[in-house]
Amino acid sequence: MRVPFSRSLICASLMLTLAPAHADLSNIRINGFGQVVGGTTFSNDHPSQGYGADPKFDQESLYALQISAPLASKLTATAQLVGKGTEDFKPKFEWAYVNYQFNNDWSIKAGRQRVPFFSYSDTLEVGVSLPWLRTPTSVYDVTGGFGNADAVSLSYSHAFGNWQIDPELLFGQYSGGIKAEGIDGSLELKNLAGLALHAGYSDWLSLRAAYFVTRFGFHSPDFDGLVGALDQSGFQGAGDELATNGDTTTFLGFGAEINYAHWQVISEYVEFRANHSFIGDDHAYYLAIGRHFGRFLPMFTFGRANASSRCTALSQIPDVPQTQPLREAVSTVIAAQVIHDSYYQFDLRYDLSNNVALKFNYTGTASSVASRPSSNLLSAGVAYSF
Amino acid sequence: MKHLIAIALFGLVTAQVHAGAIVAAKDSPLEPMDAEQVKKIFLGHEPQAGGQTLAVLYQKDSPVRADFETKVLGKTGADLSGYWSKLIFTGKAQAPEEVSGDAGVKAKISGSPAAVGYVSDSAVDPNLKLLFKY
Repeated sequence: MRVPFSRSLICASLMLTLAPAHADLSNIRINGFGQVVGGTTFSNDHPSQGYGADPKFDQESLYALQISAPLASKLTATAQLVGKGTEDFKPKFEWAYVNYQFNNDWSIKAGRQRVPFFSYSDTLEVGVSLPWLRTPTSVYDVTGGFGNADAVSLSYSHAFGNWQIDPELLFGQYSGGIKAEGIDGSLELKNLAGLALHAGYSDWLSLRAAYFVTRFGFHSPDFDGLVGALDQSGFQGAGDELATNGDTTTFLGFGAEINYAHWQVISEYVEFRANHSFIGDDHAYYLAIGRHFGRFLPMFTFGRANASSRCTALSQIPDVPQTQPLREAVSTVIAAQVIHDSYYQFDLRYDLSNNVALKFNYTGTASSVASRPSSNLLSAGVAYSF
Repeated sequence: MKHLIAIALFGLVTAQVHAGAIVAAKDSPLEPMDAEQVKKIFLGHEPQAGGQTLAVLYQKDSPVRADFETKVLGKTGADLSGYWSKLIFTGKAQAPEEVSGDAGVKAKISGSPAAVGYVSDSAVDPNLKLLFKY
């Protein structure tokens, strides 16, 4: 997944060669987090989140180390090394960036970093900081597992009375694998640019909005083969409408969270629009309500994901007997983009200690699209940080 | 059983009369601060003060720490750990350094003008600059 290891390694070794030159080694911080999660769907007919009937323990298990080294008085280098169960726990640099803190308000970050699409983007993998076992699938699956970019971001953070305002501007790019249901392909995002604005009121209210735009490219052997066949058959127009040749794609997200008198209410709404390509327009939301009872936090989450395709490729292929195989292939690709799914999620979190949490989750999925069967997933895990 | 309750109550009472202070080195450029600024510094919102990047010191689990967290930060235990996890693993703040007791704080401060920490009231001495009392 993500970008070739060698490039990350260069970033990291650069950091390591820079770091000890002036930095006092005792100032290097090493923090870590991880989780072990097991799950089962009880039936092989309806897999969910990579789980089937046989309980699996590697799907969402991971460990991570974060190394942070002050290079100069306001300059810090940070690398996050993550090993995931799905990749045999091979460590990869998820993040590798340098941060320059101009003053208490302004900072600039350059290197591999998380794109702040969602409220919980930054801590997606830090299970111990999440109220759920996993972030709500309806919304967090919209970007197809894509989340990191090689980017420059400028952040501002300032308190205005009881309001804490934190805007972040990001510009970058990404190329690498995609992890989406049944798709084995690669993504290329060029000129990824956007703004995430967060506003917090006192300690109890948190609001955010995010907007990103990028030139989007998706490739897989099967898909490129179909586009090639359309071109060769003289339907270049249809091929162009189907393919993602750097077409403009936008992401819009809103989030709100309330933590008040033991109650925790979280909601997000996101929209993903891809122009002139097979990719469907998604819009998804969730609403989560939980209440703290001492060390226990039960939480119920309802979410919906809807997607439809505006792709006009099919209308550009004449409906005659000779073109039926092509038309069928194109309509299969487009039909696979249609989603009308509901998610019912019940989570229970128990804080074993300050930095260890036990988590249980039940997720039921129902779809009104015949090809997307409903599923039940039960999972449990332990998340920690140190 | 009654004795146990009595002891527990006594513990509570002593915890409540406990007082502490935010301190830095005597020659530190840091100026005395108010409760709001202390909170910002110890919750990672103000990484810089007095023209330098601060080295924030927390005490390892101790009554002094519990007292500071309850009275000044308003966050304790798993709540505070979760809060710091978010800041650290999003790169928004550096993890504070944890040292052992008042002595650990004083030892660290003596060699570093950028260090700031909390100690119990009785540990304040002329080698320290008092920034805030709680």
